[in-house]
Amino acid sequence: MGKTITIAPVTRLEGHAKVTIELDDAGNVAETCVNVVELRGFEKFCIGRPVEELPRIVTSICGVCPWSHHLASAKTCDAVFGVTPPPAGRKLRELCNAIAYTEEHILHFFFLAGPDFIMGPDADYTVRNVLGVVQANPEVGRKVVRARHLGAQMLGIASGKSIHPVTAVPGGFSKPLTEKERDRMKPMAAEVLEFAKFAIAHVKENVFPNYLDEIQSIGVIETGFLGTVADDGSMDLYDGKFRLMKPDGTYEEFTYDQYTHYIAEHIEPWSYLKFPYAKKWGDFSMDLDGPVGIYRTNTLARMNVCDKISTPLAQAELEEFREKFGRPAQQTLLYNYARLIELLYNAEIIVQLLNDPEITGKETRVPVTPRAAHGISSVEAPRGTLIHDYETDDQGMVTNVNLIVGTTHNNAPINMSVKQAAKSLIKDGNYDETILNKVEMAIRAYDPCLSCATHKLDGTLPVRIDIVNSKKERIDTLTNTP
Amino acid sequence: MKSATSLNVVPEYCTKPVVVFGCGNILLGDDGFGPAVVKELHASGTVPECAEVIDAGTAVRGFLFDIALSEQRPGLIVVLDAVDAGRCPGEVFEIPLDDIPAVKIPDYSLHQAPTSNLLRQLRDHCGVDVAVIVCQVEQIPDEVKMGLSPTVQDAVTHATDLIENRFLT
Repeated sequence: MGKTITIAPVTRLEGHAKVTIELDDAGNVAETCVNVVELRGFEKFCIGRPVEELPRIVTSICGVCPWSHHLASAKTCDAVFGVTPPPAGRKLRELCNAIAYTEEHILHFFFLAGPDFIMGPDADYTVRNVLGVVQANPEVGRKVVRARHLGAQMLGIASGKSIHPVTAVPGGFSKPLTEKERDRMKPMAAEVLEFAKFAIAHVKENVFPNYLDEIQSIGVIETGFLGTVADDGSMDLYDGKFRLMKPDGTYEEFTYDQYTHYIAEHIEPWSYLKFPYAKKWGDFSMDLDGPVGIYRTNTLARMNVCDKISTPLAQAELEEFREKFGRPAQQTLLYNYARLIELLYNAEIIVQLLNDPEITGKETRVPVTPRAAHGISSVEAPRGTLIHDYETDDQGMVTNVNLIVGTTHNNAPINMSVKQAAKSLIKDGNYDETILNKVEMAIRAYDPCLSCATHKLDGTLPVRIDIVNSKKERIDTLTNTP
Repeated sequence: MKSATSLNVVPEYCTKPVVVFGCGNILLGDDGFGPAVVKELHASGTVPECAEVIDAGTAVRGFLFDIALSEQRPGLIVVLDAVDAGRCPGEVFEIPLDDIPAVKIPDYSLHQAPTSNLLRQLRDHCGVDVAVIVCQVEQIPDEVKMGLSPTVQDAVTHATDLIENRFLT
């Protein structure tokens, strides 16, 4: 009879990603599902509130990527109020966005995904973690923490606080950057740039070459891609237009407020989270042999959809990347490579903005007046394209809210990548922890946002794998508790 | 241009002997227990100079990562969190790290609660004492709902007293 393998901690609530792998009678993968919990009810929570409160409220959606929600919300409020921030206000938002990106990408690569590559996916989980990385290469560890600290300091200078941001407001930015503050930040930015250059060079030379087989095989699927580009087609993480690319590399572009013309949401009975898809491509299908409507966002998508990168070092890396992997590149583990290119890009942007005389402009915001309106805007969050959509009454109170976060866009691709990984690694009923690690690698590459997950510390609850037959009867339990 | 290398870039919390992290999502009812305790600690005005009390929200892993790699570390970190361990709602108790098995925990995202393994590693390999203080929740809502249940709200004061008396004096 068929069996079901579940990779999950046993919790009262499904507050984490839960992977279920169903085996057929021959012990091969018949089906997989990845349940990523979403934050339900947030939209309802916002209704009736003054729209200008939202940039502050949305930072509670996600403590890891608060700046992305903060900026997307501020931009959407700009759209609702019908205003354009002055140059200094816009550039300060961009500056904080770039700094936050460097912190997050460093954290994700070296804390979460990097250990898979630096220690190896077959390494025991007790060493396949950040401390294992540091013990293997202490110098890297020192550089990593220093670069993050510099980022946090820069954010503190520019915005007053590096966590729970409040400084992006409707109409601009609440405080200007003084010349003295700018001068304090410049050497920090220079050092972060040096780290970014070191990081990508080190990993390209010492790490990725050892995993070319894994890169070509784990979680590889064929999809389209969605990202944001500037008018000249260059990568832009703060503002621009959407570019939706098919697997064959052809694409369409549209403005933020047109997204519902291109993106629809599919529902599966086993998941609360919806599955956005490109509706003009046909009816939704996650069939690995013939996917329809599926697109991905996040680092690899942005690398694929842009024509170029505006900063010289990152542009050179993009050219090398495309020479090796083509365009669009489909290998899921390349998200991690793309993440390092984005790290470099953002580090260059920080330096560029701090050298821009407009960054210390005194006028950072324009006044706003409540009105009945519908505003839509977006930023590229580290985890993917983030769309905020608000409607207000004539008092400026929220009447409707819709958010599409990066992980939601990637819901279908994550499921497909896990299925692909599971199918290629689990055969004839044979599986062990090493194989399950590799399935996890496929999910980690997408850097899913599980902000909705409650953070109750269930340290007392072990991992348990229940094996069930096709009648859903538990026939065996595997657990690694003593 | 002044070199950044002369800058002290150790975060202030890494220089404090004691750091308290309130963990949880304030948009999900009792899961906001940790941040609520942090808020009360700040309001009490009793946090001494030698301690840092931080609302880590859903981002505590980033802080722990920095502590693990930093050349300077706190002597003690206290993790405040909500839990569903089948105890009496509102009960505040400590989970000893040694009672938590070293287990494989699916590690997908930075947003997840700190793994028990990471906390053990901080203690065993980084010389940082770790205390995990939790509150049994009444309920975690399925949808966004701010505010603690009455039993957990009452527990906030008890937890604040416990933290002050045990770790901040």
